[in-house]
Amino acid sequence: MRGVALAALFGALSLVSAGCEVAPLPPAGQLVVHVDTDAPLPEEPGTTPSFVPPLFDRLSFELFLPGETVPCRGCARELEPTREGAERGALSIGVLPEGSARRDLRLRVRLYRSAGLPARPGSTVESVVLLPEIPDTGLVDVVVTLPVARVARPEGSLESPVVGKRGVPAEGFAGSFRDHVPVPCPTEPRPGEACVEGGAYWMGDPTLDRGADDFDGDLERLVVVSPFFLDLHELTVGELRAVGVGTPTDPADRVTGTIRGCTYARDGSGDPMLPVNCISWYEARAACKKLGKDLPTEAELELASGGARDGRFPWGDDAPGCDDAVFGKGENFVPDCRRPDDDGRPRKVGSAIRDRVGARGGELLDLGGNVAEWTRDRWNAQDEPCWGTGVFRDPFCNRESPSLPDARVYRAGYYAGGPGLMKRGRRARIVNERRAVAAEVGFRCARRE
Amino acid sequence: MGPRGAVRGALVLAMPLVLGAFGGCSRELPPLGEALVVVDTDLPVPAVIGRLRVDVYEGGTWRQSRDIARPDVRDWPVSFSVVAEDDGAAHEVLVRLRAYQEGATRSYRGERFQDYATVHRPDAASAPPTPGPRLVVADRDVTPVDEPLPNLAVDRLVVLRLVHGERARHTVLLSGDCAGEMARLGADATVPDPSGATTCRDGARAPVDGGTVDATLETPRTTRAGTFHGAACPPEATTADTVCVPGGAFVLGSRYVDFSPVEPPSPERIVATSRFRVDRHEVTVARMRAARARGFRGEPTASEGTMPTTPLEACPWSREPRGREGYAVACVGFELARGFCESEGGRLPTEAEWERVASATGARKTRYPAGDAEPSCDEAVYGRVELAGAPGICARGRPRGPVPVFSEDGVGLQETDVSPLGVVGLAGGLGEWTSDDYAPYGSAPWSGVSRVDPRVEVGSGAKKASRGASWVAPLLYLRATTRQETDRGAIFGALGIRCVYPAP
Repeated sequence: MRGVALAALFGALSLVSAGCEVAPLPPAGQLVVHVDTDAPLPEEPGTTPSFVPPLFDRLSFELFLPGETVPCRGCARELEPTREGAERGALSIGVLPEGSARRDLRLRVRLYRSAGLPARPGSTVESVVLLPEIPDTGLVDVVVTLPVARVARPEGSLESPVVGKRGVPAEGFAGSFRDHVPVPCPTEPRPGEACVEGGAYWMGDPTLDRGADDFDGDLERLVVVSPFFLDLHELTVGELRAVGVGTPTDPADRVTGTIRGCTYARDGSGDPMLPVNCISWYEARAACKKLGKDLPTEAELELASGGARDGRFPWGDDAPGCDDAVFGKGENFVPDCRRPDDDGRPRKVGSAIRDRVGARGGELLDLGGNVAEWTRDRWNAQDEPCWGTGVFRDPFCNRESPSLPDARVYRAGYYAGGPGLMKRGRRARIVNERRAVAAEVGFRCARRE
Repeated sequence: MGPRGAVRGALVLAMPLVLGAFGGCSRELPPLGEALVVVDTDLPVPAVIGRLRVDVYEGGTWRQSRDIARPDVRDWPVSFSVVAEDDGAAHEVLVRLRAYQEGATRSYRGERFQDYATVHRPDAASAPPTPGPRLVVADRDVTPVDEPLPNLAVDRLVVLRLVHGERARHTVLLSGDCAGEMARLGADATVPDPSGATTCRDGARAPVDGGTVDATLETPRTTRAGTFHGAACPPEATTADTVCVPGGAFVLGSRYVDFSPVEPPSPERIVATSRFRVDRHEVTVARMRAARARGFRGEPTASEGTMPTTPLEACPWSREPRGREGYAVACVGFELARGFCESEGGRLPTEAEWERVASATGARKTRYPAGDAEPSCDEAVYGRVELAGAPGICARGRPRGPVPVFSEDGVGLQETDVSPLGVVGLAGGLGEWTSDDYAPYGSAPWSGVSRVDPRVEVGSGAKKASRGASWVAPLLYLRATTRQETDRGAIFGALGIRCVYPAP
């Protein structure tokens, strides 16, 4: 860059009113509360291309007077933590007395993921500390430690705060959580697959509209996934024929008279580039196994579908137009994306403009729409034992849901559905893993070394 | 507040002394050309504005991009310096400032220089992208992957002339007057050029200027955030019967509705409503009777005898009182509803007014009138009848049919369905007529609408917009953003009246 530069350091501006006055020195003693966290803090925003979004983007302080449960006036601050800010000491606040209240003060500190919403327990690291008495003169340092591993498990509460520790941040702790750094695959992808880099991301989308209970996914949890290989596209009719396993329901099959839109025909007719649908979870997995692969887990598929960059959809945050993805070809959705050449079935794989995720090995196609996709996991509602909140490493749910046994998860966007189904956090399930088939649902395979 | 009053405010949170390093105050810099840019907004923070995007262009090239969160109103105005390299030359720098709502971004595909109307075509996402400029630094493409949603941003270009050894302050207000108006970076959409660029200023498209320029380098400490049509309510304006709603801006609609039984309430837009008063409760049978006694000539469809509990026929009105005086009056067509409000010295609310009351009078817009949580069957009156063959989700163990607003002795029966300002029965109870004609937000009637007190007319107005769910509705209808297209003449037991009035 030459010519001009933004010289301001935005981070510092936020904390004290911007201006040329130096912040007034406290007339008397004060506490300086430092936040120490191993969470990776982003660079000063806009200084680097941020394809790896920060895990946490908001830091809030709230000070409570004795006996109070709402912060005192002027005693709440909210800011965006950055690495440079941390180096300048901007992850600290001063607590100054102006009258007699200088003891039994409680401070709630929260590091959280905003997503445009107030803090939520599942994506918040929180401490409520009882502050030492504010000294008459001089500074007393207090340190509040917010480790990523304690996400969703607050330390202390307004009723029983933990005693604030005197001191300053520990050497070497800041930013030491390394799992957010993308981990490349150990080997090159084979033809037809791409490497999905491993890393930490937030599974779940707090802005999801639950609508009906069939589709959850609005609770968040921090998930760390190792790198894996994922097929570039949904398994096609032609590929399934070559594999020679699986008996997807034939369009002519009278047993499933209510299912329309199946792509595979036993007589060998039909377009080989259409994705397979109308196949049970059991048969889909068998096909992947025969290829030396497996179905992806929920966490893997969601990571690939936009989780890695914290997008709502595979391509970003914005709702799609009709050509962007294969969706909206049913009768009751807005927008109505039916076209004259649509035949009430999925379209050829890779026919959407924006439903593509670039990765090493090629573009991952149709993760949002076309057919929904089976995952390896058993269904557990997002608040059932498999899931909940916290930090999960390579999670795979293999226990029966207490409320809905024998169900497998699929990820929900498909050719006849509305745009909201294509959000990467959206979870859905079908009961009867051996028998149940749906025209909505196909699959793709994943592989680990 | 008692003795605590003395203590409140006695403590302040201040930040430690780390300010030496920042732009406008770094007096140690060599005598570079320097501009201190002070950016403020008059829209509410953080409800409408939470972030600021700054893009810097010079010589037709995109030089830099910053995106900062400013969720705390005390962080406004935001200021930063732009400093020229020490080459002795004068520089002309184009700076694009966009204040926008947290989370309101879309992928950057280069449409950023199209008109608002173009971007808001319902099929805009399918339009072929125009190649926008790219940000390349040290041979690396670091173009931000997303950009603010145009409809939820205030977009403003300023030009700075940096002359060696000179300093100036440029004060820029990102005003609600310009919400949703995209800047145009140059005559050719792909090449930034101050002479061909246009931007919205004071509500109209204009050539690019430098904001308000003066020589001081001080940063003002007061913000105008929240002042855009932000008329407050005097305490006496709220009574037992009516609630005063302060003027102010909010985001109309929601991009987060995935399952909608009706047209989804998007695209969103920033609008403001002026101060007004609104009925605390839906208009009751008793009130209708009193109005008729005073000479109002309209009359709702009546049920004589026992009131049926089917959606079409549950009409609480009766020619003579039949013990249903505390029910909200239903079975009124649009004309009758409008006439009633006018006879009471008011009018029907606009959709924007209704949505502001129902979701946007607190610090943040909420999904339902009482908050973000789904109202339970005990908290709001809905799902009280079977619909399309499915049992009403709240019908089990509860009486079918509508629920009175007041008991016979005048006790409110729906008081848990309440907004932060104390307006009752917005989520459930009855749906309510608005004065607006119905049109999808993405369609032409809405694209030219005023930002302040928007009103929508479509032809003869055969289709009106009604708001609010009713005792008939399933849960999906209860969200405060749900809009229903309703025949002007529709008369049924799930639709009633709430009026608004001028504020004193």
